[in-house]
Amino acid sequence: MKTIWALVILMTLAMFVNTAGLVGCSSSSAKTAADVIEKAKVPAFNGAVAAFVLLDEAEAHRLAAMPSATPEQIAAAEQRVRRLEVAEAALGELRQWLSGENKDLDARGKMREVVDALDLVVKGLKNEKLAVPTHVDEALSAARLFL
Amino acid sequence: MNTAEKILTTTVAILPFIEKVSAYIHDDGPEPEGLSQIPALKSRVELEKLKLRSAQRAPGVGT
Repeated sequence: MKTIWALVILMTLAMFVNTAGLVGCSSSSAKTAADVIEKAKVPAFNGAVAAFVLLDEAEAHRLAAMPSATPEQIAAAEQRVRRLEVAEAALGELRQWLSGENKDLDARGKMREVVDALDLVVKGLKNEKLAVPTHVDEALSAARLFL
Repeated sequence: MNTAEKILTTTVAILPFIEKVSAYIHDDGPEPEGLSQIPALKSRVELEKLKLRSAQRAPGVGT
């Protein structure tokens, strides 16, 4: 399972690196830096979605496995879930933007919103001494390519 | 379906999209449509269920 996720993340990062490599060559394709930034947005979005899915799946599994919880545990989980909801909403707006709708969106600001929300979820997990899903850091690194 | 199976299902669902993105970047193919569908949040549902379970187990409830 870890191998599959590693493959997904590496493919995303490799796509960005290979695209960046095209800029340096002097072939007739003549991609500009703007082209690279333009195309980095999709792998970055994909990384953000991957981080979101990993954190949400792990949170859902953890909560489902708990027979009951203290008010403190519920409050902490509520905070993490609210941040996941913030990320979900922002990802929805980014997806529209990538699809050509809502062109006036501050896409980088919205990606910052996603990354900040997911970073806070990770921080919350660490504060509670709960496990952070594997490869979330790599996925968030891919998302930061667009910041 | 356990968590591992759920994650595998999600991964498999994302892979075709990544292939489209790769083609888009390397071959100047068309911009992929239906960019990564964002799966619906699952943790909210589980949190609400946990709240119910915890309330039912609270002292004085059901006695």
